[in-house]
Amino acid sequence: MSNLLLKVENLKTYFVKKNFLRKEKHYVKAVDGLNFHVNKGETLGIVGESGCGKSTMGRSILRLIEPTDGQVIFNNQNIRTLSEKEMRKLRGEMQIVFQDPYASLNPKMTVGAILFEALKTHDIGKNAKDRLSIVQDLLVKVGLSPIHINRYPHEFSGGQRQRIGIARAIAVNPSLIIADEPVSALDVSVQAQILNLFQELKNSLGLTYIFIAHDLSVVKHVSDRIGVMYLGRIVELSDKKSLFKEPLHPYTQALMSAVPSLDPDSSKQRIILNGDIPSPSNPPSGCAFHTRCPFKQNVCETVVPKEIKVSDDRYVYCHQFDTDYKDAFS
Amino acid sequence: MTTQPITQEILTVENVNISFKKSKTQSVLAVKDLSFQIRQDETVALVGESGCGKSVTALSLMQLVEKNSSIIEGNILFEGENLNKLTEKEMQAVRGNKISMIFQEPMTSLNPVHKIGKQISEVLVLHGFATKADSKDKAIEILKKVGIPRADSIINEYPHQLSGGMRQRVMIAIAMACNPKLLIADEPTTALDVTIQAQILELMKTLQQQFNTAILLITHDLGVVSEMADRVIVMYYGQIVEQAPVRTLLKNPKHPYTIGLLNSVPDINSDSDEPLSPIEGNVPNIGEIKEGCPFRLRCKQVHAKCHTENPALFQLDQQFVRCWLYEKREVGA
Repeated sequence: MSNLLLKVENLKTYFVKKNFLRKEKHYVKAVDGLNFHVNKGETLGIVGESGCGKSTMGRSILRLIEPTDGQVIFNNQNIRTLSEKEMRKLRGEMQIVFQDPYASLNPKMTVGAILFEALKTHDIGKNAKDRLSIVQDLLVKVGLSPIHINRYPHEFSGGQRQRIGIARAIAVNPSLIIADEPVSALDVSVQAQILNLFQELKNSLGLTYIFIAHDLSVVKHVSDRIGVMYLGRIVELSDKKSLFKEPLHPYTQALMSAVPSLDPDSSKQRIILNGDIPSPSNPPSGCAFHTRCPFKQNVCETVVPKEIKVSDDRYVYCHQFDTDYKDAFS
Repeated sequence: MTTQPITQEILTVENVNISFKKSKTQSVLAVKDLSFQIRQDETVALVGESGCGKSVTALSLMQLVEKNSSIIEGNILFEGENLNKLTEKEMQAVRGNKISMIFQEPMTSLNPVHKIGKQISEVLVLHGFATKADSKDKAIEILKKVGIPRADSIINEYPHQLSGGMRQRVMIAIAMACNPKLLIADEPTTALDVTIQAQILELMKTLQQQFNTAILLITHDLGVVSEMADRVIVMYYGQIVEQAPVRTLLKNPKHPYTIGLLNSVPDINSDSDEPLSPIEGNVPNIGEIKEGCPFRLRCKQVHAKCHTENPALFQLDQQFVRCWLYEKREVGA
């Protein structure tokens, strides 16, 4: 597959939680064995609730958080074996846009300086004059104006700040952008502007996105394929159309039915899950979803579901679809 | 739903202005000429983006805005009593007892150093719904009503030991403890995950039927509005721009802002890959716009009159719209 841009194999990121008195270590399995790939030019949406590990996943791919195990293959290169220096260079190819545009921009730097720094770090532009014109171009590209160049982040609204965050990401001509909840801090009317900007830039610059969000309707709007995460694992990975037409995993079904519909006449059946999301520091055994699953059988408590290929590009991790356990669910 | 026989209004807000003092001589008008009613056992949603004045409205109904730095004008009539004229002591008898409130962030609105049980029994004892002796049992009973498992051990836990959804249930338990006539819910599910949000919304509906409570639901999420509300009030820049029964508002919005808001939300039921049609520009800061219609800078249908005069609320059947496009049938205001 020459179309492949990123391949993630068995990615694990554990955080060590040391006990103050006892010697034993306790692990928080934030990301626990992810497998997926991203093709050039597509948008992979990752959706899940808080604590499911979606942000940790995004950062682990960029090695902003060092993964514990597994492989991240970007452009046929295993980036986990790269040195810090090589990695820094490669980050020009893969960029991230953060959720909170208030916290992710240095308040003491002007917009111009923020973008200038990115260009300089990655050796883009021949000289200062050249870089200045690139910065001006960038501002126009993200829907700001060159007159904003000498302003500080606090002089902008949330939406405009997110535009600056996006400008910084595209400044270094990346091929992959990981967008971590880029619109969840914004008002609805502004959120739509930023979503459109993402779409425009994707088309004009040929970008590939991993779009992480908790809002199912936003993810549906931007993505080609969607992965649903629950407690550090992907439970379902599918192209957008089939996922929304026929969600297979019980969690996906519940998640979709929980989204309030804008249509006052819709009479959809709501599946209300009981209980809370378990803590990732102490996840349930077997299938992590079994504590809230309406179809739970004994096997779910002990055996971790394996990847079941339902059709081309469609995977689900649930014993219901495993022929080995057919009897348990009949 | 909306065309029920006329039930009694329990809250009537008349021409309320809320302004905040900036200096001795200057003040900003955060909420302008606000009038609406809430009937018994009805849910009214107050919708708008950040800075539109929806939370300030809720706080001033409860007389919770700082008195020294703000001025509330107009009448807030609750069961025939003008809350705006009550003394602090009289107001305390209303708060938590007849009108109660739940907030967005259950972590910051619960007291971190008191056990859950104590926080609930405090309310019960204060308003005379329980004595010190039986307050513990009553607290357990209330926690069970809001669907908290192992209620008898939860009362001995602290807020930080509970998850976000559980904390919000505790908040609701405290709010409903005295069987209030009106519950003001300020973004009650914004901090929660969708599956938990679904639980909490369901709980609010059940309790509303059980206790016959009217709800003023403040939210920015139009999906939540569609699920919960009977009537909707849309606010922009401190004013009501549209008011209508929920079906009418979602199916047939009139104000350009409401239309823009609805078009901005990606529809989970549609398969279209078309770009969204957002409202251009940003939400203005309070005090930024001096004259004319405050939405005119972002409005696609702006014309000459919009620049000079702020429109009144025009009535079209059950719908009220603050826009010059609907001028012909003016209401008596």
